Amino acid sequence: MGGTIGGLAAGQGGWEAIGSGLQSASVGAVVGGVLGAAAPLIARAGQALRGIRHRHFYHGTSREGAAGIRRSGIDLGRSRTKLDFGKGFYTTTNKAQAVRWADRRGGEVLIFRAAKSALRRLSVKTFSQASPEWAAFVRAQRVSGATMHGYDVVSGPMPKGPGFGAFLRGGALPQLGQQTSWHTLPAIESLELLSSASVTPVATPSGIAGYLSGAGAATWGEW
Amino acid sequence: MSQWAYKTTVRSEEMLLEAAEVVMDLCRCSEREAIDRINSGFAPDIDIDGVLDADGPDGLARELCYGDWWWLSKPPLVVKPYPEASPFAADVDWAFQTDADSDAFLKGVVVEMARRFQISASECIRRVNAHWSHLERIDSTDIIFHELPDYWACDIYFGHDSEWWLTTPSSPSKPMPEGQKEE
Repeated sequence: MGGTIGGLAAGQGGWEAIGSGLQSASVGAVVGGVLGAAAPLIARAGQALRGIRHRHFYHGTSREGAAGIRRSGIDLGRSRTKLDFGKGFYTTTNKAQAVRWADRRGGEVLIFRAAKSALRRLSVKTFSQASPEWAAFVRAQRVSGATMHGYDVVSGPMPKGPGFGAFLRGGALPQLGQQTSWHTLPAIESLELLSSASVTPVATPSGIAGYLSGAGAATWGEW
Repeated sequence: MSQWAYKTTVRSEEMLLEAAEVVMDLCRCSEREAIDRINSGFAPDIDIDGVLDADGPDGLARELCYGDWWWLSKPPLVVKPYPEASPFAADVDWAFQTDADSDAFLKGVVVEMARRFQISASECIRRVNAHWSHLERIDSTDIIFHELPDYWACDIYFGHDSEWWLTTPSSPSKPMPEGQKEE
Protein backbone atom coordinates (compact mmCIF):
# COMPACT_ATOMS: atom_id res chain seq x y z
CA MET A 1 0.00 0.00 0.00
CA GLY A 2 1.08 3.57 -0.30
CA GLY A 3 3.78 4.75 -2.66
CA THR A 4 3.27 6.41 -5.95
CA ILE A 5 0.12 6.26 -7.92
CA GLY A 6 1.62 6.92 -11.28
CA GLY A 7 0.01 3.79 -12.62
CA LEU A 8 -3.34 5.40 -12.02
CA ALA A 9 -2.88 7.93 -14.74
CA ALA A 10 -4.85 5.67 -17.02
CA GLY A 11 -8.22 6.75 -18.36
CA GLN A 12 -11.31 7.43 -16.34
CA GLY A 13 -14.47 5.44 -16.20
CA GLY A 14 -15.37 1.92 -17.10
CA TRP A 15 -13.49 -1.09 -15.84
CA GLU A 16 -9.94 0.16 -15.90
CA ALA A 17 -7.14 -1.95 -17.28
CA ILE A 18 -4.13 -1.01 -15.21
CA GLY A 19 -1.63 -3.23 -13.55
CA SER A 20 1.10 -2.69 -10.99
CA GLY A 21 4.32 -1.11 -12.20
CA LEU A 22 6.37 -3.93 -10.68
CA GLN A 23 4.65 -6.63 -12.68
CA SER A 24 4.89 -4.51 -15.78
CA ALA A 25 8.65 -4.09 -15.38
CA SER A 26 9.19 -7.82 -14.85
CA VAL A 27 7.34 -8.79 -17.97
CA GLY A 28 9.03 -6.10 -20.01
CA ALA A 29 12.51 -7.15 -18.86
CA VAL A 30 12.08 -10.83 -19.58
CA VAL A 31 10.41 -10.44 -22.91
CA GLY A 32 12.59 -7.52 -23.93
CA GLY A 33 15.75 -9.62 -23.66
CA VAL A 34 14.40 -12.02 -26.24
CA LEU A 35 12.65 -9.79 -28.69
CA GLY A 36 14.49 -6.49 -28.40
CA ALA A 37 12.57 -3.72 -30.13
CA ALA A 38 9.28 -5.51 -29.78
CA ALA A 39 9.49 -5.34 -25.98
CA PRO A 40 7.48 -2.14 -25.48
CA LEU A 41 4.62 -3.56 -27.49
CA ILE A 42 4.67 -6.79 -25.58
CA ALA A 43 4.95 -4.95 -22.27
CA ARG A 44 1.83 -3.02 -23.14
CA ALA A 45 0.15 -6.31 -23.99
CA GLY A 46 1.24 -7.57 -20.58
CA GLN A 47 -0.35 -4.55 -18.95
CA ALA A 48 -3.58 -5.20 -20.78
CA LEU A 49 -3.48 -8.83 -19.69
CA ARG A 50 -3.17 -7.85 -16.04
CA GLY A 51 -6.05 -5.43 -16.57
CA ILE A 52 -8.09 -8.39 -17.61
CA ARG A 53 -7.32 -10.10 -14.32
CA HIS A 54 -8.24 -7.23 -12.01
CA ARG A 55 -10.65 -4.36 -11.78
CA HIS A 56 -9.81 -1.18 -9.94
CA PHE A 57 -12.12 0.76 -7.67
CA TYR A 58 -11.79 4.13 -5.97
CA HIS A 59 -13.27 5.16 -2.64
CA GLY A 60 -13.38 8.83 -1.69
CA THR A 61 -13.69 9.54 2.02
CA SER A 62 -12.51 11.78 4.84
CA ARG A 63 -8.95 11.51 6.11
CA GLU A 64 -10.16 9.87 9.30
CA GLY A 65 -12.32 7.47 7.32
CA ALA A 66 -9.34 6.53 5.15
CA ALA A 67 -7.14 6.06 8.22
CA GLY A 68 -9.76 3.81 9.78
CA ILE A 69 -9.89 1.61 6.70
CA ARG A 70 -6.11 1.37 6.54
CA ARG A 71 -6.00 0.53 10.24
CA SER A 72 -8.91 -1.89 10.59
CA GLY A 73 -10.19 -2.67 7.13
CA ILE A 74 -13.67 -2.03 5.81
CA ASP A 75 -16.39 -2.26 8.45
CA LEU A 76 -19.79 -2.72 6.83
CA GLY A 77 -21.42 -2.00 10.18
CA ARG A 78 -20.39 1.64 9.93
CA SER A 79 -22.23 2.22 6.67
CA ARG A 80 -25.26 4.43 6.42
CA THR A 81 -28.54 2.87 5.47
CA LYS A 82 -30.76 4.30 2.74
CA LEU A 83 -28.03 4.53 0.16
CA ASP A 84 -28.64 4.01 -3.56
CA PHE A 85 -27.89 0.31 -3.56
CA GLY A 86 -28.46 -0.23 0.14
CA LYS A 87 -26.19 -0.36 3.16
CA GLY A 88 -22.68 -1.14 2.00
CA PHE A 89 -19.21 0.06 1.09
CA TYR A 90 -19.29 2.33 -1.96
CA THR A 91 -16.66 2.70 -4.63
CA THR A 92 -16.52 3.95 -8.17
CA THR A 93 -14.58 3.02 -11.26
CA ASN A 94 -14.47 6.71 -12.12
CA LYS A 95 -11.32 8.14 -10.58
CA ALA A 96 -12.37 11.76 -11.10
CA GLN A 97 -15.65 11.14 -9.31
CA ALA A 98 -13.84 9.67 -6.30
CA VAL A 99 -11.50 12.65 -6.24
CA ARG A 100 -14.41 15.08 -6.22
CA TRP A 101 -16.18 13.17 -3.45
CA ALA A 102 -13.05 13.07 -1.32
CA ASP A 103 -12.50 16.77 -1.97
CA ARG A 104 -15.95 17.59 -0.59
CA ARG A 105 -14.82 15.89 2.61
CA GLY A 106 -11.28 17.23 2.70
CA GLY A 107 -10.12 13.66 2.47
CA GLU A 108 -8.44 10.94 0.52
CA VAL A 109 -9.05 8.49 -2.26
CA LEU A 110 -8.34 4.85 -1.52
CA ILE A 111 -7.51 2.65 -4.48
CA PHE A 112 -8.60 -0.96 -4.41
CA ARG A 113 -8.44 -3.80 -6.83
CA ALA A 114 -10.43 -7.00 -7.04
CA ALA A 115 -9.48 -10.11 -8.95
CA LYS A 116 -12.03 -10.90 -11.58
CA SER A 117 -11.80 -14.54 -10.60
CA ALA A 118 -13.01 -13.51 -7.12
CA LEU A 119 -15.75 -11.30 -8.53
CA ARG A 120 -17.04 -14.21 -10.57
CA ARG A 121 -17.71 -16.13 -7.37
CA LEU A 122 -19.90 -13.34 -6.01
CA SER A 123 -23.51 -12.50 -6.65
CA VAL A 124 -23.17 -9.34 -8.70
CA LYS A 125 -26.04 -7.21 -9.94
CA THR A 126 -25.09 -4.87 -12.76
CA PHE A 127 -27.26 -2.07 -14.09
CA SER A 128 -25.72 -1.21 -17.44
CA GLN A 129 -27.96 1.81 -17.84
CA ALA A 130 -30.38 3.97 -15.90
CA SER A 131 -33.30 1.67 -16.63
CA PRO A 132 -36.71 1.73 -14.96
CA GLU A 133 -35.53 -1.32 -12.97
CA TRP A 134 -32.51 0.63 -11.75
CA ALA A 135 -34.65 3.66 -10.82
CA ALA A 136 -37.07 1.49 -8.85
CA PHE A 137 -34.16 -0.24 -7.12
CA VAL A 138 -32.54 3.04 -6.08
CA ARG A 139 -35.80 4.60 -4.92
CA ALA A 140 -36.66 1.55 -2.83
CA GLN A 141 -33.24 1.48 -1.16
CA ARG A 142 -33.18 5.22 -0.55
CA VAL A 143 -36.65 5.27 0.97
CA SER A 144 -36.46 2.20 3.13
CA GLY A 145 -33.06 1.16 4.35
CA ALA A 146 -34.30 -1.94 6.12
CA THR A 147 -35.33 -3.74 2.94
CA MET A 148 -32.00 -5.07 1.71
CA HIS A 149 -31.37 -7.02 -1.45
CA GLY A 150 -29.32 -10.21 -1.44
CA TYR A 151 -26.48 -9.24 -3.78
CA ASP A 152 -22.84 -9.23 -2.77
CA VAL A 153 -22.01 -6.42 -5.19
CA VAL A 154 -24.12 -3.96 -7.14
CA SER A 155 -22.80 -1.80 -9.94
CA GLY A 156 -24.51 0.85 -12.00
CA PRO A 157 -25.32 4.52 -12.47
CA MET A 158 -25.13 6.99 -9.59
CA PRO A 159 -27.85 9.65 -9.63
CA LYS A 160 -26.84 13.21 -8.86
CA GLY A 161 -27.74 16.69 -9.93
CA PRO A 162 -30.28 19.28 -8.87
CA GLY A 163 -33.19 16.97 -9.70
CA PHE A 164 -32.12 14.21 -7.33
CA GLY A 165 -34.81 14.86 -4.72
CA ALA A 166 -37.53 14.98 -7.36
CA PHE A 167 -36.15 11.81 -8.93
CA LEU A 168 -36.54 9.95 -5.65
CA ARG A 169 -40.20 10.97 -5.63
CA GLY A 170 -40.73 9.71 -9.16
CA GLY A 171 -39.40 12.60 -11.24
CA ALA A 172 -37.06 12.66 -14.21
CA LEU A 173 -33.53 11.35 -14.09
CA PRO A 174 -30.83 13.66 -12.82
CA GLN A 175 -27.24 13.54 -14.02
CA LEU A 176 -25.40 10.29 -13.61
CA GLY A 177 -22.12 9.04 -12.25
CA GLN A 178 -20.90 5.49 -11.61
CA GLN A 179 -20.94 3.47 -8.41
CA THR A 180 -20.11 -0.05 -7.33
CA SER A 181 -21.23 -1.09 -3.86
CA TRP A 182 -20.07 -4.00 -1.72
CA HIS A 183 -22.55 -5.50 0.71
CA THR A 184 -21.25 -8.74 2.21
CA LEU A 185 -18.12 -10.06 3.87
CA PRO A 186 -17.12 -12.17 0.85
CA ALA A 187 -17.48 -9.07 -1.29
CA ILE A 188 -15.33 -6.97 1.06
CA GLU A 189 -12.73 -9.73 1.24
CA SER A 190 -12.34 -9.60 -2.52
CA LEU A 191 -11.12 -6.00 -2.30
CA GLU A 192 -7.40 -5.43 -1.94
CA LEU A 193 -6.25 -1.99 -0.84
CA LEU A 194 -3.45 -0.91 -3.15
CA SER A 195 -2.73 2.66 -2.13
CA SER A 196 -4.26 5.95 -1.15
CA ALA A 197 -3.85 9.55 -2.15
CA SER A 198 -4.66 12.79 -0.36
CA VAL A 199 -6.80 15.23 -2.21
CA THR A 200 -5.02 18.42 -1.35
CA PRO A 201 -7.42 21.32 -1.49
CA VAL A 202 -6.32 24.07 -3.87
CA ALA A 203 -2.80 22.74 -4.12
CA THR A 204 -2.41 24.18 -7.59
CA PRO A 205 -3.66 27.46 -9.06
CA SER A 206 -6.49 25.59 -10.69
CA GLY A 207 -7.19 23.51 -7.62
CA ILE A 208 -8.69 20.10 -8.10
CA ALA A 209 -9.63 20.96 -11.67
CA GLY A 210 -5.93 20.90 -12.46
CA TYR A 211 -5.73 17.27 -11.52
CA LEU A 212 -8.90 16.37 -13.33
CA SER A 213 -7.60 17.88 -16.53
CA GLY A 214 -4.49 15.76 -16.20
CA ALA A 215 -2.17 18.65 -15.39
CA GLY A 216 -2.25 18.62 -11.61
CA ALA A 217 -0.71 15.37 -10.46
CA ALA A 218 0.72 17.38 -7.55
CA THR A 219 -2.71 17.41 -5.95
CA TRP A 220 -2.23 13.70 -5.33
CA GLY A 221 -0.06 13.06 -2.34
CA GLU A 222 1.60 10.00 -0.95
CA TRP A 223 1.29 8.63 2.51
CA MET B 1 -60.90 4.68 -6.05
CA SER B 2 -58.02 4.69 -3.60
CA GLN B 3 -56.96 7.97 -2.06
CA TRP B 4 -53.37 6.78 -2.11
CA ALA B 5 -50.84 7.36 -4.88
CA TYR B 6 -49.39 3.91 -4.35
CA LYS B 7 -50.38 0.37 -5.15
CA THR B 8 -51.78 -0.76 -1.83
CA THR B 9 -53.11 -3.86 -0.13
CA VAL B 10 -55.79 -4.01 2.54
CA ARG B 11 -53.01 -4.15 5.11
CA SER B 12 -51.05 -1.21 3.74
CA GLU B 13 -54.26 0.84 3.38
CA GLU B 14 -54.84 0.37 7.10
CA MET B 15 -51.25 1.23 7.93
CA LEU B 16 -51.32 4.33 5.74
CA LEU B 17 -54.42 5.52 7.56
CA GLU B 18 -52.54 5.02 10.83
CA ALA B 19 -49.62 6.99 9.39
CA ALA B 20 -51.99 9.77 8.31
CA GLU B 21 -53.32 10.04 11.85
CA VAL B 22 -49.79 10.38 13.19
CA VAL B 23 -49.02 13.03 10.56
CA MET B 24 -52.15 14.96 11.52
CA ASP B 25 -51.08 14.84 15.14
CA LEU B 26 -47.45 15.84 14.56
CA CYS B 27 -48.18 18.55 12.01
CA ARG B 28 -51.49 19.67 13.51
CA CYS B 29 -52.87 19.55 10.00
CA SER B 30 -56.00 18.42 8.22
CA GLU B 31 -56.55 14.87 7.01
CA ARG B 32 -56.29 16.18 3.45
CA GLU B 33 -52.84 17.64 4.09
CA ALA B 34 -51.71 14.49 5.88
CA ILE B 35 -52.74 12.36 2.89
CA ASP B 36 -51.06 14.81 0.51
CA ARG B 37 -47.86 14.71 2.56
CA ILE B 38 -47.83 10.93 2.38
CA ASN B 39 -48.72 10.81 -1.32
CA SER B 40 -45.99 13.27 -2.30
CA GLY B 41 -43.35 11.64 -0.13
CA PHE B 42 -42.35 8.82 -2.45
CA ALA B 43 -42.35 7.77 -6.07
CA PRO B 44 -45.76 6.37 -7.09
CA ASP B 45 -44.19 3.02 -8.02
CA ILE B 46 -42.56 2.52 -4.63
CA ASP B 47 -43.26 -0.72 -2.78
CA ILE B 48 -45.27 0.97 -0.06
CA ASP B 49 -45.88 -2.35 1.71
CA GLY B 50 -42.13 -2.79 1.96
CA VAL B 51 -41.67 0.73 3.29
CA LEU B 52 -44.35 0.20 5.92
CA ASP B 53 -42.91 -3.17 6.89
CA ALA B 54 -39.53 -1.54 7.42
CA ASP B 55 -40.51 1.68 9.15
CA GLY B 56 -44.04 1.11 10.43
CA PRO B 57 -46.75 3.78 10.22
CA ASP B 58 -45.22 5.82 13.02
CA GLY B 59 -41.72 5.77 11.56
CA LEU B 60 -42.98 6.66 8.11
CA ALA B 61 -45.00 9.57 9.51
CA ARG B 62 -42.08 10.93 11.51
CA GLU B 63 -39.75 10.80 8.54
CA LEU B 64 -42.24 12.64 6.38
CA CYS B 65 -42.87 15.28 9.04
CA TYR B 66 -39.36 15.74 10.43
CA GLY B 67 -37.09 14.30 7.73
CA ASP B 68 -34.54 11.50 7.68
CA TRP B 69 -32.59 11.07 10.93
CA TRP B 70 -35.30 13.04 12.72
CA TRP B 71 -34.13 11.68 16.09
CA LEU B 72 -30.94 13.71 15.79
CA SER B 73 -32.84 16.99 15.64
CA LYS B 74 -32.95 19.25 18.63
CA PRO B 75 -36.22 19.01 20.57
CA PRO B 76 -38.87 20.23 20.39
CA LEU B 77 -38.87 18.93 16.83
CA VAL B 78 -40.01 21.31 14.11
CA VAL B 79 -42.02 19.86 11.22
CA LYS B 80 -40.97 20.34 7.63
CA PRO B 81 -43.03 22.99 5.86
CA TYR B 82 -45.60 21.74 3.38
CA PRO B 83 -45.63 22.37 0.48
CA GLU B 84 -41.83 22.39 0.48
CA ALA B 85 -40.59 25.87 1.28
CA SER B 86 -38.86 27.88 -1.43
CA PRO B 87 -35.28 28.80 -0.64
CA PHE B 88 -35.08 32.20 0.99
CA ALA B 89 -34.65 35.06 -1.43
CA ALA B 90 -31.88 36.94 0.34
CA ASP B 91 -28.46 36.92 -1.28
CA VAL B 92 -25.88 34.84 0.53
CA ASP B 93 -22.21 35.65 0.51
CA TRP B 94 -20.88 32.17 -0.17
CA ALA B 95 -17.18 31.49 0.22
CA PHE B 96 -17.13 29.94 -3.27
CA GLN B 97 -18.71 30.64 -6.62
CA THR B 98 -22.18 29.22 -7.22
CA ASP B 99 -24.78 29.08 -9.96
CA ALA B 100 -28.55 29.39 -9.56
CA ASP B 101 -29.04 25.66 -8.88
CA SER B 102 -26.27 25.32 -6.34
CA ASP B 103 -27.24 28.59 -4.63
CA ALA B 104 -30.78 27.26 -4.19
CA PHE B 105 -29.49 23.88 -3.02
CA LEU B 106 -27.13 25.39 -0.48
CA LYS B 107 -29.89 27.63 0.82
CA GLY B 108 -31.91 24.44 1.22
CA VAL B 109 -29.09 23.04 3.35
CA VAL B 110 -29.17 26.19 5.46
CA VAL B 111 -32.94 26.02 5.92
CA GLU B 112 -32.73 22.35 6.87
CA MET B 113 -29.90 22.89 9.33
CA ALA B 114 -31.69 25.82 10.96
CA ARG B 115 -34.91 23.83 11.30
CA ARG B 116 -33.28 20.70 12.67
CA PHE B 117 -30.86 22.26 15.10
CA GLN B 118 -32.62 25.53 15.81
CA ILE B 119 -29.69 27.74 15.06
CA SER B 120 -29.71 30.97 13.11
CA ALA B 121 -29.44 31.07 9.33
CA SER B 122 -26.27 33.13 9.66
CA GLU B 123 -24.64 30.42 11.78
CA CYS B 124 -25.72 27.80 9.25
CA ILE B 125 -24.21 29.84 6.41
CA ARG B 126 -21.01 30.20 8.38
CA ARG B 127 -20.84 26.45 8.88
CA VAL B 128 -21.50 25.71 5.19
CA ASN B 129 -18.90 28.25 4.12
CA ALA B 130 -16.35 26.84 6.54
CA HIS B 131 -17.02 23.29 5.39
CA TRP B 132 -16.36 24.04 1.74
CA SER B 133 -14.13 27.08 2.01
CA HIS B 134 -11.36 25.27 0.11
CA LEU B 135 -13.50 25.02 -3.02
CA GLU B 136 -13.42 27.62 -5.74
CA ARG B 137 -16.82 26.76 -7.12
CA ILE B 138 -19.86 24.63 -6.47
CA ASP B 139 -22.21 24.43 -9.44
CA SER B 140 -25.09 22.28 -10.63
CA THR B 141 -22.73 19.55 -11.83
CA ASP B 142 -21.18 19.14 -8.41
CA ILE B 143 -21.17 15.79 -6.68
CA ILE B 144 -22.74 17.29 -3.56
CA PHE B 145 -26.00 16.89 -5.46
CA HIS B 146 -25.71 13.16 -4.90
CA GLU B 147 -27.12 13.77 -1.44
CA LEU B 148 -30.13 15.74 -0.26
CA PRO B 149 -30.03 18.89 1.90
CA ASP B 150 -31.12 16.80 4.92
CA TYR B 151 -27.90 14.81 4.67
CA TRP B 152 -25.59 17.79 4.27
CA ALA B 153 -27.31 19.63 7.11
CA CYS B 154 -26.44 16.77 9.48
CA ASP B 155 -23.02 16.03 8.01
CA ILE B 156 -21.86 19.63 8.24
CA TYR B 157 -23.44 20.22 11.66
CA PHE B 158 -22.05 17.10 13.36
CA GLY B 159 -18.98 16.53 11.21
CA HIS B 160 -18.61 13.47 8.99
CA ASP B 161 -16.10 11.73 11.22
CA SER B 162 -18.56 11.70 14.11
CA GLU B 163 -20.48 8.99 12.19
CA TRP B 164 -23.70 10.65 13.28
CA TRP B 165 -25.79 8.31 11.10
CA LEU B 166 -25.00 5.35 13.33
CA THR B 167 -27.40 6.52 16.01
CA THR B 168 -30.96 5.23 15.83
CA PRO B 169 -34.23 6.16 17.49
CA SER B 170 -33.65 3.29 19.92
CA SER B 171 -30.03 4.25 20.64
CA PRO B 172 -30.19 8.01 20.56
CA SER B 173 -26.78 8.78 21.99
CA LYS B 174 -25.93 11.80 19.94
CA PRO B 175 -22.56 13.07 18.86
CA MET B 176 -21.85 16.52 20.19
CA PRO B 177 -22.66 19.21 17.67
CA GLU B 178 -19.89 21.68 17.02
CA GLY B 179 -22.00 24.58 18.23
CA GLN B 180 -22.37 23.02 21.66
CA LYS B 181 -18.64 22.46 21.93
CA GLU B 182 -18.08 26.16 21.54
CA GLU B 183 -20.40 27.08 24.37
